[in-house]
Amino acid sequence: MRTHGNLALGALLALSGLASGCTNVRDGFRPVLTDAPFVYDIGELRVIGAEELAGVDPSTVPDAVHYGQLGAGENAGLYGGATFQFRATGSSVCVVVDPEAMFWNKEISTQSNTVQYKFEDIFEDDGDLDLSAGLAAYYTGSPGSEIGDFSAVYDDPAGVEHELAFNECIQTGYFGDPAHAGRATVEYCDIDTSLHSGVMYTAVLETFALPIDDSILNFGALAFDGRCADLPWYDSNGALLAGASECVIPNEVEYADANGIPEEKAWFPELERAYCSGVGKVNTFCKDNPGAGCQSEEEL
Amino acid sequence: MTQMRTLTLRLMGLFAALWALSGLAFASATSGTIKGQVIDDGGLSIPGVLVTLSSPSLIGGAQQQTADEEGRFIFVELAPGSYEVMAQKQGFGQVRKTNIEVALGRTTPVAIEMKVGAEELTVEAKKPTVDTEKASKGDSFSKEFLSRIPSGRSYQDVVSNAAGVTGGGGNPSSGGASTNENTFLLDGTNITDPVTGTFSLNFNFDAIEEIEVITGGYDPEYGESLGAVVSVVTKSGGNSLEVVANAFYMNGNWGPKMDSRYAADGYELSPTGFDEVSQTGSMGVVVSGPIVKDKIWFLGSYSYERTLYANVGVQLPRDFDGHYFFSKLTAQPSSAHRFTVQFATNPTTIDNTDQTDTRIFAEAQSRQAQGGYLTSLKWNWFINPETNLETAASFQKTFIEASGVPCTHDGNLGYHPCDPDEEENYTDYTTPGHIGLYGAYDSDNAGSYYFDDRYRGQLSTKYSLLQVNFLGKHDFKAGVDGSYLLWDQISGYSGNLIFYDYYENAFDPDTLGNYAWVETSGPSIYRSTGYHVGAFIQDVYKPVENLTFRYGLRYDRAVHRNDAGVPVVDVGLFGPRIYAIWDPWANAKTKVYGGYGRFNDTGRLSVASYLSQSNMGSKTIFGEIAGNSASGVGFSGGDYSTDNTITVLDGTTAPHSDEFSIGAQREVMTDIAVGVDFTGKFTRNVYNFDETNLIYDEDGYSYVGSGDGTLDSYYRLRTPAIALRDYYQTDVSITRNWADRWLLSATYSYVVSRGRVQNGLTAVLSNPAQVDLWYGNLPYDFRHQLKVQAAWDLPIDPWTTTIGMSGQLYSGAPLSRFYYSQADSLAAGGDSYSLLKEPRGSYGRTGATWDMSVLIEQDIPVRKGKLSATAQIDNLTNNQYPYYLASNYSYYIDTQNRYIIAYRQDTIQAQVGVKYEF
Amino acid sequence: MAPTILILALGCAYNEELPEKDILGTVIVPAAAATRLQADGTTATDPRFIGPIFLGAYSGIDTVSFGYPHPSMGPIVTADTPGDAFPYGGTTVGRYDFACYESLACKVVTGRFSDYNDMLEYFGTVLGSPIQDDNGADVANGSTFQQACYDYFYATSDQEMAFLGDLDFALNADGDFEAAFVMPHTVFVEGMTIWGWMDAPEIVPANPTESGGFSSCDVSTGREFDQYDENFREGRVYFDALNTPSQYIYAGDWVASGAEEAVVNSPDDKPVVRLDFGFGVGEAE
Repeated sequence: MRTHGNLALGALLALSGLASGCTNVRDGFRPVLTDAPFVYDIGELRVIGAEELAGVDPSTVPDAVHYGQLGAGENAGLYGGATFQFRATGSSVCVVVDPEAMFWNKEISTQSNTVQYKFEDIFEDDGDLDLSAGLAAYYTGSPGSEIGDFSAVYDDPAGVEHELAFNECIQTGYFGDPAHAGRATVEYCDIDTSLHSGVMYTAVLETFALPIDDSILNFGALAFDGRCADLPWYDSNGALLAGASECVIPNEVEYADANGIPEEKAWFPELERAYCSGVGKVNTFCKDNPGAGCQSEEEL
Repeated sequence: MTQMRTLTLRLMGLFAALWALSGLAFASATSGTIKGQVIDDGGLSIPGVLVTLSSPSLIGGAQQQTADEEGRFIFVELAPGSYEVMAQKQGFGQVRKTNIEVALGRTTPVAIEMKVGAEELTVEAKKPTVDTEKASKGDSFSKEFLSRIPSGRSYQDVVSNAAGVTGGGGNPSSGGASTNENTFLLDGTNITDPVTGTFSLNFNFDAIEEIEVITGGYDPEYGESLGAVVSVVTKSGGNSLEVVANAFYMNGNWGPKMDSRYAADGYELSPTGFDEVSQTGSMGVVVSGPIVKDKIWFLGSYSYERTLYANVGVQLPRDFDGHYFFSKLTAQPSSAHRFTVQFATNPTTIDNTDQTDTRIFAEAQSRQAQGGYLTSLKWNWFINPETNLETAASFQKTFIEASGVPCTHDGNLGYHPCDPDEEENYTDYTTPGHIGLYGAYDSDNAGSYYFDDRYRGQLSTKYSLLQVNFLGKHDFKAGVDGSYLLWDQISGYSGNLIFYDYYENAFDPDTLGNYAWVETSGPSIYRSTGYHVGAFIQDVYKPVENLTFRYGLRYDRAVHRNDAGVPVVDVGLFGPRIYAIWDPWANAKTKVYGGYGRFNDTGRLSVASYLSQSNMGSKTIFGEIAGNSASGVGFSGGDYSTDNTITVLDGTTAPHSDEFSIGAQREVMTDIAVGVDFTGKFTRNVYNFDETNLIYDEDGYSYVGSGDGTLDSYYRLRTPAIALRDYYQTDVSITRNWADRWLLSATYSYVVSRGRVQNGLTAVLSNPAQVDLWYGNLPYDFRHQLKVQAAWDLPIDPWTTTIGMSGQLYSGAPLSRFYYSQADSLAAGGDSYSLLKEPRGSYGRTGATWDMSVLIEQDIPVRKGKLSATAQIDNLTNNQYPYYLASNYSYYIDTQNRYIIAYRQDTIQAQVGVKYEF
Repeated sequence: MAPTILILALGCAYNEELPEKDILGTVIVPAAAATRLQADGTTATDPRFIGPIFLGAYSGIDTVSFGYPHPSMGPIVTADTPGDAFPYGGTTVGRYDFACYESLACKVVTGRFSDYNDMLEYFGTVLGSPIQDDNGADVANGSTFQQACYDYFYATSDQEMAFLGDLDFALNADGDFEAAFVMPHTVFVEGMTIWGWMDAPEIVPANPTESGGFSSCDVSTGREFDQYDENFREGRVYFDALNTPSQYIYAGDWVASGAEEAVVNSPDDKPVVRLDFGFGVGEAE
């Protein structure tokens, strides 16, 4: 009947319009899917002591210092991450994660030029991981498939359930509120394991942002036997210093990639050493190596 | 006839199965109806008369009917215009009645008197002043009105002329509803934005035939809105070729523009002047005519609009550049079928969209492209004069793209040059922007981007069965319509980073430094979908000639889902409506009417977006200027959340209004009617957020605890009964339709608009201790409103000069006094004055505002066609509107405990234009 | 018309089935709690000695963990912080408000003073620590006080001063002080207990200028007012007063013992919260 025919035509018109609309998502803004996993479990890491860490190339102890990569997931709204477990020592454990690469803000100070970065960071290579840690028994995620948090349920005397947060990696921000470090910035915290010696802990490295250059976030992570303030590392002069920083886990860009350091980031190790040695060294490096991780002098 | 009876009985049985019978029949706001009767000079009906209807607005040529045994005839789905009816019967003198006006949503009664054996007679019809079958409230703006009454040359501006409508600029508040609770129809197609509930399409003003604004009492045929139904009907063309070309220019830079300022002790300071660039130029052409005479008509329209507008001191004016295309094809291959196909698109670019701020450098401006297209197909099947079926399908896409300014190789532009290897119009989405604080400038890059695509696909069908005899006359109508809605949105910061720069010493550029920056997790990418199905059944029932009942039932079902597919809005609602209109003297000069209607709001996709799973995480990191001794690269503070802390309460319903009205109208002199109307409208269950975790002290001033031990806010979407509006409107009106060279319409409204929520979605329940104080006078509670429109064709033949004017007066808006709130200041990160100590809107009122515009149109005789020149002045009296000095109301109270309100002068705008019709 | 009324009735029958209810009740402060030492060495019973009352709805009462009845707590998560009592809802009878002078920060509670002279008398005579303006001079009279408030708040009437006006507490037949309260938007849990405590003002006879302060008010936070001193803040209540009240309860404060009359079994119950346990002062009467 003619009625049906025209209804069908109308429906077809509407549907074809919708179909063309459905494919019109601006994919250029999504992170690119790569081989880097969305969620994975590192496994158990040995808690490494100060003497060993000071005397060894961190890339040669993969059972204690992990270099890895994280990538994008199917759903634009969710980010994944990595997890690892470590055994409580009965005293302070410092958990550290260092995401690719380095970030500084050239304009953070109106003070003299000698303490100010002269060159802008190239930030496209920076990713951001957020660190939390707690007793493995309280972890709500599923290592290797789903990122969760640390919580337990308390039933009050009236039978009402309340969720308790058991993240023991407390980092505070500008207002003393719970916070995480920004892009490319190392995150670390002291966990007091004195009440749970020998018990398994989980550390969660949740992806906050992927680098926009290649959607692959290289990172390094470790658990240190002692306080974060005592973490050893070497500066560009070979001096042994202490204190958790960018420099404790060196060269995450090179060691995380199975194929070694990508050519376009060949400058990374040297820039990182300069970064670990002060603003002046970064300025010098950037001046001598324009475009290598920092803007060239012309940009000034 | 017998078969028709059988079919009629079968259908009636079907309808009777539903306990609430039909409502308003052909008050379709896309067409009009002629209903008439042929009688002899003794008053007896004459059966079997051949009735012929003709008009230049009637596609398909003249229509013919044979009047029934009571001499009755009916013509439906008529485009607005002037018609002629000719009655012929053997033995009687032929009668021709001319100048019968058909208007949108109206039934024009035609009575024809035939005399035995008399000569041919031609009678001119008198336009009915009182429509004794209409109970709905609102105004119709015909072509005659639109061309004579000054307006902004867009349908959005015309709407504010209707009584009970306030606000303007496109999204009015009607009957106390919020500005996103209206429905916009274009030739019956719903063009309301599926996300925001606002209008979504612009087109050439000269392509408009008529605009109907229904503010209350509308038929079950229309739903989904608590405010007004704005129905725009476009021209269709005719049997002769017509070309209308126009060009207009408007300048708003005339007349004094001053702020009045009041110091704390109440004395008026000397006014400050401000400069403003405000110019609009538009030109357009409408071509219409026959492709096949009487069978296929076409209309094509193009208009171009360019507006430059700049606030005081900005670096570059906002540049609006819009192209509006509209085309329509109407075909009536036989008397039984009519097809209408439409296509509209309005690509527009707006440059320098951030021109509101003097601190924005040229290269930090952003650019917005918007537009979309609408296609629709409608089929009318006139099965017989009493039965017709209308089926329509349409698809609409609208989009907005806002981003930084694309680069150019054009050296003349002076900013944003492309790099040598960059393409023309390359847009940088990776370089972060800078926002300036404390006098510092926004610079470098606009910094954020936003892409938005919205779709609506619709199918509808309506069946009308008219003039059914059963204890009187019934006009039944029933229909079903379905829509599918989709919304895609991407937004973010360029490079996922934005810097906040700061003058350490105010306004000293040498102390510029970076105060803080915000890092985001990436763009927010979001999709929301929804569908809506509506069904209605209605009847116009006349048990006797001078009494009409209009009643019916509407059912709406809507589901809107967020980006995880979770239904946020999930409702099924009934909307019964019943009205009665009584003509006590049965002479079409008086009517008394009243009734009740329930109107349901089926929501907008923006409601579902509050439960988005695709939130953008952000971290705020402070630099050394802010005292962060870690040199800004240590640990960050600020919000970090991609978790959704918003939920929806199970079993939410949808907002609805119950409206009661009663009124009367009488034609007191020829063509002049006086009316009085009282309406009470009660809106309940408006969308509202409450908060479930924080615990306040007794005044709601500060937190004293939280349910889970954190200070996180957990919002919950609800539709509580206390989220309400109570609206009362009393109108007294005088109307003189266009006749004998002049028209007048004046309405005085006394309005009371009280409630707890003005907008369609608020969070007034978040602070439980404040909930009672939030009931008070709503922002659009303008108690006294006066709207006047008048036009006069001066009797200076052959030169026709028309003077038109429109004026609106509103008494003052209510004011609330807010006090410092400890809780909100913590949430806002700075001082927040949001605590009420008295009911809202009870602190006082602003002054009255008024607006008057005048239009002079002069026809210039030319050999072929018609040429006219127009001059229009808006805001003739250079009125002021309230402009608050600061949001911190505590600082602007004078010694008499009154708010210090600065009044800003609205500019006088002059518009000149030229129009040529061929 | 009947069908229409039926439809209307259907519409009115929409029930949100909200888990939260408003709980109305009464709080009783025994006379002993309002009996304190005055500057002249005598004791007096004065309702102005009643500090802010914090009321919360809790799952139960713990009589073991502290030296006074305390709401049941959840487990300790962070060292040095007590377990959270997870209140279902709460309110106050009297709250901290800033009374125009820096010296009064964290010392003034709403619903205790009817006018300026009342306050001048309380601080000057009863506590022995006259109110001083921001220059250190004593405030002479009520008009001076009033003008300072009008200037500070840009106000023009006493009705805008939250700390003046109607008094919360009235003497009841037993000689105790009684006030009504509304605990809005409280999750109703059958068998929940309304528990509360009163923060008593410090009385320091040896150094009266320290008298009048409260432990649940943080002087170093709140709205910043930098006209005279950019470090000056008006003070505000601690935001976790109902979650971990033990951090702010000291000897001299009065606490509810969680009697049966404070248990709520239905949303229409009218609990009576009797602050009959004086922590560090022994039982009432």
